[in-house]
Amino acid sequence: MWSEGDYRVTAASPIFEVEDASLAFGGNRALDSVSFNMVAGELLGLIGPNGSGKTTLLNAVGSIYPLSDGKISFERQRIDSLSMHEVTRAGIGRMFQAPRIFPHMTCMENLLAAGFAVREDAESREDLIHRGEELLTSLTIDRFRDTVAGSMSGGQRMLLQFARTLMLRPRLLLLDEPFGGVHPKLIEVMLERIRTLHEDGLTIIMVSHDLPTIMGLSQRIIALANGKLIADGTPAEVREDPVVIDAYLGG
Amino acid sequence: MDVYVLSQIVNGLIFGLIYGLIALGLTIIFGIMRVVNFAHGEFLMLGGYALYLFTVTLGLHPLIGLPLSMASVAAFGVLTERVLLRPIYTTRIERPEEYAIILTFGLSLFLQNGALATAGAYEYTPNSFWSGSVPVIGDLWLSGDRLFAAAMAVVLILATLLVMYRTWLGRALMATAQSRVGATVSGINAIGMNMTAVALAGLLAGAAGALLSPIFLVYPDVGVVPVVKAFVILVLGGMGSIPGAVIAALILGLVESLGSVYISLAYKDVYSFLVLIAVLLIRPYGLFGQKERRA
Repeated sequence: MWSEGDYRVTAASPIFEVEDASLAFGGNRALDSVSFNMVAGELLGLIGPNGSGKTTLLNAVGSIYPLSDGKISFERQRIDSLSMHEVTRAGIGRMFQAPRIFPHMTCMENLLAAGFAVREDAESREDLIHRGEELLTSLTIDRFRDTVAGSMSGGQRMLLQFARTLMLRPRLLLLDEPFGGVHPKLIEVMLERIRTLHEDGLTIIMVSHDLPTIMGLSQRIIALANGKLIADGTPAEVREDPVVIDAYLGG
Repeated sequence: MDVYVLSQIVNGLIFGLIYGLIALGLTIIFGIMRVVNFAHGEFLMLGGYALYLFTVTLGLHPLIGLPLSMASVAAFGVLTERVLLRPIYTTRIERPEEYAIILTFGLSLFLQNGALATAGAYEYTPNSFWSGSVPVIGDLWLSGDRLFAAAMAVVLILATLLVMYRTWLGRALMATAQSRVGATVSGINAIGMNMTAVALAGLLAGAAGALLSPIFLVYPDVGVVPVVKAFVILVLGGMGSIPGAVIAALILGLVESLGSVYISLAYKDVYSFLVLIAVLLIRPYGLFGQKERRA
């Protein structure tokens, strides 16, 4: 039987596909045949206990670790054999739990480094600076425009990393614990920005241990445990799933 | 000031500039790849032999031989990166730094003995860039080759600074030096930056070797002493700091020549280490090394 929901899902072709992705470090299977698809504009929450493979999955998508088996495609292009910067240029923006900023550059220079690498032909340096200023303002760190990034606090660095990632105009955004160690006020700023990006149709995968936040934000949640995908559904479904409850409480 | 002291100061600055070329390359390789290139002195040596090959064997004009020598050493550097160093970044080997140390040490020995085996233990004299002497200040005369070496070193150092601070390529190199992963998620090809860094360092070391060769001749271990000085400069200026390398090089050149004037010529190679020890006691991160806030 065709329900309206089924029809919608089959009609929108997936923008991002993970198919039987496996990744082994020695004998340890950090990812074990993980498969899922995403349609454009989806905001997917990725949860799981420590060591369940969340960050490893993001690293596999970003080509930081090569897959042992399986494939990952974005916009119908295989990305699992690309090198890291090619994944970035293919439209995938990645944020790390520990911000990977350029510490001896100012905030603006951080943004320009990323902006230049993926700039369009018609974009001038002034255009990039202008866009960088808008991003810094929208993330409330515009007063640090000419501050050396290494002198900023952890939370401010996270916001800078966010701004730098958005400078790339990603079409898929990977957020790894974006709220870790960030002041509640700054978390509000990030949440607001993530909501806006989602409303604008950006496809987002977010990893967080902050279950209330991620459940409130995401349309769909997938849960990992021991490298396996154990649940995939709406926040309400996943929250009630006995396997997930068992993985969290039993693990 | 008598002519002798003046000549020592001028000579010190000239040496400082040449040290600067060598140290800049070392700094760039270290900053971007985290590899201490122990074969850097042999890059210098290759520059000298290349100039001999181009000017004497092939009979080209030295002004054509210089860029060709620089390009040859750069090409050799790129080959080294591609064949020997790249596995550090593309495969998951344990202890990549140690691997690189042993590898570049081995390469250094291989090149020195390779030169000994092919060119022999003789000194080769490439053609002069500028033969004869010129009056500089008052009674102070300098050989044309020294002046030419100093002038070219200034040009090349300024060109390097221009590339590093005023071009997109320089920004990308510095970004890679500050965070490799951060650079790749910003769309910068970090492996490509490794190759660029080694090529740039090869150009500079090749230039230093070629510029020195008409003055001090070329032989298999010609690079050994200069590269030790460059290591001192690297630490003195702050590991990976580009302005630090240039300024520390000039300081070292001056300290060496003034120490020779006022203390003793016999200890010329010791003064640099005394300065190094003093700086490390007061500023362990070097003159321009930056302390970083830990967030």
